[in-house]
Amino acid sequence: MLSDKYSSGNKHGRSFTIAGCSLLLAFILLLFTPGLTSEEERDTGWDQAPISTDNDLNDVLALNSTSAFAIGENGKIYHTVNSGVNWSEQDSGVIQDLNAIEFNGQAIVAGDSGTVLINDVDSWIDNSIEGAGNLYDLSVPHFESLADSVIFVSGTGGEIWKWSNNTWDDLSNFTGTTNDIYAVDFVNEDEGFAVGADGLIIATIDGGLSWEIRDSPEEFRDFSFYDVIIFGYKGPNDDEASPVSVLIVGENGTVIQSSGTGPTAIGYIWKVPSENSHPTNTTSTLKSISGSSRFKFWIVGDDNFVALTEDGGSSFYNQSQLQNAGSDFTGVSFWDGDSGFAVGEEGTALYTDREGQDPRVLDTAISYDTFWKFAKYAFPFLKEGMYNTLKIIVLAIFMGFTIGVTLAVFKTSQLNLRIPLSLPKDDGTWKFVNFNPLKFFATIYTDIFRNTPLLVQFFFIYFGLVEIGVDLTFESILGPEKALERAYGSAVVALGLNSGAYQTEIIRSGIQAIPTGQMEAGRSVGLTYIQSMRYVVLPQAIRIVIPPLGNETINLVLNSSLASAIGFGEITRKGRFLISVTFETFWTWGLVLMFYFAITYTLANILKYVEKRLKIPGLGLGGED
Amino acid sequence: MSDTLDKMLKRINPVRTLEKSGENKGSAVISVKNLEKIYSGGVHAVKDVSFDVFPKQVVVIIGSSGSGKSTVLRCINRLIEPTEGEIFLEDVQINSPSTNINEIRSEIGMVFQSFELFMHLKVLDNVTLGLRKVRGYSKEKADDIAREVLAKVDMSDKVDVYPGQLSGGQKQRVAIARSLAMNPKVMLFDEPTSALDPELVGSVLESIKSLVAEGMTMVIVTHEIGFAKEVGDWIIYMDEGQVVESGTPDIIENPKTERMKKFLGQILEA
Repeated sequence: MLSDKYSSGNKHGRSFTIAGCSLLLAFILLLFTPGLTSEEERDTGWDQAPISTDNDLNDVLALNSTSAFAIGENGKIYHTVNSGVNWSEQDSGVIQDLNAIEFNGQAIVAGDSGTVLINDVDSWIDNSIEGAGNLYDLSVPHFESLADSVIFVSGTGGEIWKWSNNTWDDLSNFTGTTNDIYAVDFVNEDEGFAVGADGLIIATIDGGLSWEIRDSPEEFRDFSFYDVIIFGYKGPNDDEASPVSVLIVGENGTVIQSSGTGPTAIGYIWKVPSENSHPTNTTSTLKSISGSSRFKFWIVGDDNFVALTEDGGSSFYNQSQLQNAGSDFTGVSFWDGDSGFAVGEEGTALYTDREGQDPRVLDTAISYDTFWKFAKYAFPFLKEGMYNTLKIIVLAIFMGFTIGVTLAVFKTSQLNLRIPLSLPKDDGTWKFVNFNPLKFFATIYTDIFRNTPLLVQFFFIYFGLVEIGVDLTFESILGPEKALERAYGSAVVALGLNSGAYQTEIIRSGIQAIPTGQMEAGRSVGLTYIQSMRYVVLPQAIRIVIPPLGNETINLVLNSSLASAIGFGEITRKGRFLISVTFETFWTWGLVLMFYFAITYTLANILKYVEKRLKIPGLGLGGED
Repeated sequence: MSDTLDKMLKRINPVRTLEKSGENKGSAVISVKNLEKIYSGGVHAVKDVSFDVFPKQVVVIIGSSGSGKSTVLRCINRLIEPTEGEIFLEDVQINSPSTNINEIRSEIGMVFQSFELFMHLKVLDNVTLGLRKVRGYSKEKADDIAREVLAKVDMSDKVDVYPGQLSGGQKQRVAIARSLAMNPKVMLFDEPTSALDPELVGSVLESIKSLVAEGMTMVIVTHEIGFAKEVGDWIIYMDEGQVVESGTPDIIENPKTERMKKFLGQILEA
């Protein structure tokens, strides 16, 4: 029997081991019950709406809250009217890759080899440009009919064409660049921006007859820009001075913005719309922007990237992990602030009617009438909490043990300073008092931490130390990218310091349990005090105190629940959150207990095993070897 | 047994003669001069003790419990700090603040009454610890030396067991090997057989005798009067912290002082 290996050997102990292991096993089974945790069952905020094709999709256009066009390689155009549940393929009449789709009364598509298609009910009218290269984007500032419309398209090698007066004009010579132009956006027939390879930004205010190069920030000049969008600008005749925001996305997670008010010159100064240099927290290539206002928009890109901002790009809710498409996304299009589509490689398509947000982050109370329904909802939170708890205890145990060993050595040290109590007496003798600064320090430390409540220590470290400028995010050491959440840093430090005090006493007792002869024997061989400690006394002392150290470690795990009081999202904190949403106190706390049991019971068995492995005949208590 | 004993006595005799004649004073290995020890509690454990230990000489200190003989021994390698007096290892003063005591200790072997083997280390590692951490030898070199000295004390077959699995006599022989491995200039034995069952004493004494035969310089504190007489070149009898009587082993046969007579009487009765 497996448990025999590390049970204490007597019958009583063994039956306990079996009972505990069965409980643990039951818990693990529960943890991996497919219905409870499988990704399909979770509401991710986005619905899968795949198109059955191997072709990569390049762009999408939402026509209203439930219908859309999606376009892709090999001239493919798909249409849905029911939120992406069914997609029907339409006859485009071409086999070139289609790259971009825009709408202004009619949907218009641009593609490779100068392909331009205009939608007409269920068919597409070919209006391709003779002699043009691959077209990457288009903008339609005016459309009454094909004869009365203005269309701009951009493409390879700095190409820009304009459709007006029923004919295509080649404006490529006016762009002043031979970089590929990946995106173009016009707010009216005259004013627009185009962006492309190697940080290219150009702007026109005369319908493309002349273009001006706008400098992108120096650090972005090596990156290609893939989409540009102008929010809020109505044109030079706009009466109200409405705020304008131009956004560009591209390689290396780039998001830059130029803003101004009303019909003033914009696009001269570009900056990241956030104090964080990477508000999207990604270095993946970003491909497409779509949104309902200059504040609320979505960005999609490579490596499964989908993110929403509601503050104009200052911060993003990353929705990537919420949906499980595992794809590079190429296009996104939102009808309004709630409904939209996103498309990507190999027919990947997503639809949302709820901002792409997991409703569990919304403050809605849901009724959970069965345990399973509750557990489905609760498990992801509790698993996250368990991960966070483990994150604290691993570091805190390590920190506590280091402190414990060091201070135990301090406490048992023989360093004695002789401090005179007063001036010499009449007979010339001094009266001395012995003072051991190491022992003094260690004693003060352990006395303070063992005689104050741990909860108050948490409060002092989390709320108090920040006041005098102690940086518990460790930003100065780890750098701004890897800096810890302050509650996390505080929890580790508080638990580590507290446990260190208890471990000091435990290890000190172990050191004192080793006969002084062992130290003498070490010294008589010629080892220094520190060497004798390190190679002779401590290895024996630690072995003796493994059982009480194990108890202390388990205490530390249980005490980690106090981190919930400073707002760190460990298991208990998640439990409190679950109750605030579900009001299911019995189930919630019951499950929380089980999660703690699983951690401590596993830990206890590991420690038992370690103790057995390190056991040496003739050393320490018990054992019949 | 008696053959080897004869050989041993023959080897030892010249030294004994030398010592008697008072020559060769300058080359003492250990020299204790006017040693005083007052413990912090006020106990005056050692009072004005002086003696020399010459190369290849075996000095045996006898005396009843609490006579200060163990204190003297521990003062020699400064496990106990002397209050007054001077102790020299060859020409280096041991009890001087400028002395690197760890270096000195590695030159002085010490065998304890309670063995004090490192319980968490196997026999071989017990012997190699000092070689590797103090002398800085490689594992291979230290292992070779350890196997050699363990063979000397007849413990070759136990290199891979823990001290907890050995008998008392075996433990003490490992402890002797541990000291011997450091190739000390002098070895101190602190009642090496007191903690042993009577039937195990013999094997330890044999090991010590074989060291005597090799000419190892030693200071032995013991209760074994017969053994003292057999291997000792110079006997020191201590009582109440003072050297009461010292001389060649003959003094055991013919004690001059009443105190020593009484002590020997008690031992023989027991």
